[in-house]
Amino acid sequence: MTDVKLMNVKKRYGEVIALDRISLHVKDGEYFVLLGPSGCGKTTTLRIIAGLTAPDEGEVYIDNKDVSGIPPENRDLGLVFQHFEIFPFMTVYENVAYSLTIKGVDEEEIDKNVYHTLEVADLLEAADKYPQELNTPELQRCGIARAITKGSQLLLLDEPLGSLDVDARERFRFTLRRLVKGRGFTAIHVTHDQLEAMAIADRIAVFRRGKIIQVGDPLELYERPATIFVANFIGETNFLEGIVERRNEGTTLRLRGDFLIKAGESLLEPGTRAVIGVRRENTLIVPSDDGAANSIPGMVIRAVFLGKIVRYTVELENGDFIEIKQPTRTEKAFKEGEKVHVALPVEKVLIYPYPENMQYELALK
Amino acid sequence: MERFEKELSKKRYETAGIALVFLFLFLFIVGPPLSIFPIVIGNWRDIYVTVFSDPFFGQVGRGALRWEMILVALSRSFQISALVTLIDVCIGLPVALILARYDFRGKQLVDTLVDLPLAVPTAALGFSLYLFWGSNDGISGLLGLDSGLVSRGPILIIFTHIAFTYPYIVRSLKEIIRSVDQTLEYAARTLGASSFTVFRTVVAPQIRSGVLAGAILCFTRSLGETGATLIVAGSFYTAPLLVVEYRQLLMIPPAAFLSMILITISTFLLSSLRFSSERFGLQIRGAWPRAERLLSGRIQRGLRDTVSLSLFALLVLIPSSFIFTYLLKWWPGSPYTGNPQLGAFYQVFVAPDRKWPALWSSILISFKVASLSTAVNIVAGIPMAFILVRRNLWRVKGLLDALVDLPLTIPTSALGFSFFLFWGSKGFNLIKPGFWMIVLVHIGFTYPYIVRPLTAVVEGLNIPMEEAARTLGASPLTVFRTVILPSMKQGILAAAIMAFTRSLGETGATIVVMGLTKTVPVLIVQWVESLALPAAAFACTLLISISLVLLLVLRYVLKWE
Repeated sequence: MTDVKLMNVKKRYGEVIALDRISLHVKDGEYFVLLGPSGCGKTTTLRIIAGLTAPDEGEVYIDNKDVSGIPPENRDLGLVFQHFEIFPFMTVYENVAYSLTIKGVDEEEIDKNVYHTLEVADLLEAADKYPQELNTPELQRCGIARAITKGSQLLLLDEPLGSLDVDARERFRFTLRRLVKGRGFTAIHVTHDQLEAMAIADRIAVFRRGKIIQVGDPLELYERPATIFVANFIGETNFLEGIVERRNEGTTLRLRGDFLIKAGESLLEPGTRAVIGVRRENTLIVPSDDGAANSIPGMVIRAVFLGKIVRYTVELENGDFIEIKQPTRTEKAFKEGEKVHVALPVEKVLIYPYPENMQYELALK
Repeated sequence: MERFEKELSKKRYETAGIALVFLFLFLFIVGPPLSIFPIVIGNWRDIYVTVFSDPFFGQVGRGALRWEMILVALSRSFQISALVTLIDVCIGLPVALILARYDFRGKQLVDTLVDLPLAVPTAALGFSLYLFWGSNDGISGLLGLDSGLVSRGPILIIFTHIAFTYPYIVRSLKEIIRSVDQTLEYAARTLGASSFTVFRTVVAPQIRSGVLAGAILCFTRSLGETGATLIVAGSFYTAPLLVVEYRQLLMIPPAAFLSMILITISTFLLSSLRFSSERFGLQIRGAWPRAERLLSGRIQRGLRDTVSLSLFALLVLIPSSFIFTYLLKWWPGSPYTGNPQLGAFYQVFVAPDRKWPALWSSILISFKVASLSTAVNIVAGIPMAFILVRRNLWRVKGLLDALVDLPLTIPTSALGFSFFLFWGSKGFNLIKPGFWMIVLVHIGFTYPYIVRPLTAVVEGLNIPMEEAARTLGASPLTVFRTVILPSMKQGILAAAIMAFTRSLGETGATIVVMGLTKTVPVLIVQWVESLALPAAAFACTLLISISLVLLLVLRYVLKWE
């Protein structure tokens, strides 16, 4: 039973508030991802859990035990570093054996353990090599192997895939998740890559500027992003501004240019400003004579063919721009300059109250 | 082991450790030189009498006062050091430029040769220069003269100081020129500047603080030198020599007073370096395109390179290695009369005054002193380096830096004398002049040579790697032993060799605290004074060879990565 709880954790560096009273509960056996742009506090959170950084306020519980003041070496966890930090003056074997060697475990036991881990990490052949002789994926596996030899059930990973190239990164997501699930680890994984987070996580916490904006499973974050920021950060979303016209069976908005668009249920009062968001892949582009419901007329100003999808930019008649991604279908291709309608499926339209600072919500940091 | 380290990693031991490091710094490094002020004030009556009112040639009213003698010595020291620094920069800059920017066959060799005087203990270097310039075996023999070309005195002192400070200036200039971005120079060239104009307007502004730092280093080294100066000075004296002389005549008050002045001046020089190097201006406006284009010509540049390299050979390289030729010539006997009793072999190994046993015991003492002081400083210096780099020291950082560097600029004879007062009769009265006091003084002046390079090493350490070890279960001390020490190994070795070599070659600090125990450089000075020149040449060659091997090992260690 390994779970991690953070209660009202606060950390500041001089004037900068790195973490603003965050609370979090990572459950036993969960693959949990801390996701956010750089400088959002996700790495600080991981370091606080590991004991490498002391919080200014709040408590951290590992297995329901308050670990405040316990130095990292006495916490039962393994940490995989972004740049792996393999000891350059030790062989791969010695690196992986490190945690056991310094604990004074007898050599036979170490041998058994290390070779087993090396086998799992596919590093048996590299056992006697020095880190300088390894390539990046091997170093990464060595970092993970070293962290799990310690025998802890809690595995912390700080951007573990960040140094790998795109191909290796995608393969490794799968390997990592299988390792964690196979051994019943609880994993906390920090990344700024939303695709990685979606692919690997049971649950994700979205961080921004020292706060947790939303916690949920990947589908939940994708389908019901809590704020404009989350909708923008996870997936690609078109936003349009308007004023709530009426509220019955969903919410109807009057956009600029007096176009009426229907969105889902909301608690917004008629007359208040609001923002609607629709994912690019959920936005439909239809011929202008189609008479589609919930649509706005416009003109294709750019069509980019990307192989299996086509990306359109449409300038609406009210002057707003919409980006659309559609699977390539040769019989229904639109040309630049063609008049079209942009249809927004009601159940896919997200609606938010107009934020205090729209620029801030849309910024990706 | 790990459990023990875990226990020792606790907070209270850490605090105790830091307290010890500071206690060491204050008691063994900066305490003695700083205590000279209260000692001078406390003994002001004696000092006043001996320095300001007691004429040292008897008759009141006619003889010079010691104060006047001190003033003369100080002004001579300053003039010599200033002149040496100026000449060094002028002849060193082109060579630094050549080494930093050009690629040619034999560059590695020139680079090593430039560093050569660094390996030669100054007493040996001074002796070699004396033999080259001042004896009829040297250059005057080549010129067919009967006596030496340059007799002992100020000119020979200047030559000697140029030779041993030369590597300092070239090394620091070379490094700083290397760090300048060359694309800026290319840009200036494409904009129409000739190479000399480029140097003056683009390179010079970027290297000026480095040049100043190198010049001040050179100046303080020259100001504080004792060993070589003793040999080449003749009856001439500089301020450090005066300290040695007063000490040998057991005139403690004037020696203390002069030491205090030297300590004050060099401390002031060091701090002015810290604060002024940024503001030091250099006129770069204006253009003399025609004159500078002329200076930039291929022939002129070639001339510049030839002249500066020849000057290096003539002033530094040949004189400082001349001793080997001399020794070969004088090994079997006098090359003039053939009398074997005048040869080095007879003098060292056969003559009844038993020079070899004396030399051998001095070598042992030198090695013991160097090993002990280096070992102590490694142990005390590593934690200090960590404190300087890792601790949040706010404003105290500058002060602590200055304290650590304090012994670097103080003339070693004044520093040694302050140790003599501090641990001896005017202070704690714990230690008599002799072996242990020599060790203490050597600990004092080699401390910065250990701490400085180590701070650079600590700055380069990879902190996440230490954190990795922590999360794998290692307590801070276990991390230190298993991760930090292995990463610092080379840096520690390099610093140790540097300090060891410095200790091995030191004369001034030793001579004022030594009692009857002698290190090799002191023995050389005494043999030269007693005109056993071939024997002295043998001792020098031995000392140089040892230092040379150490220097080569150092270069090897630094390249090894």
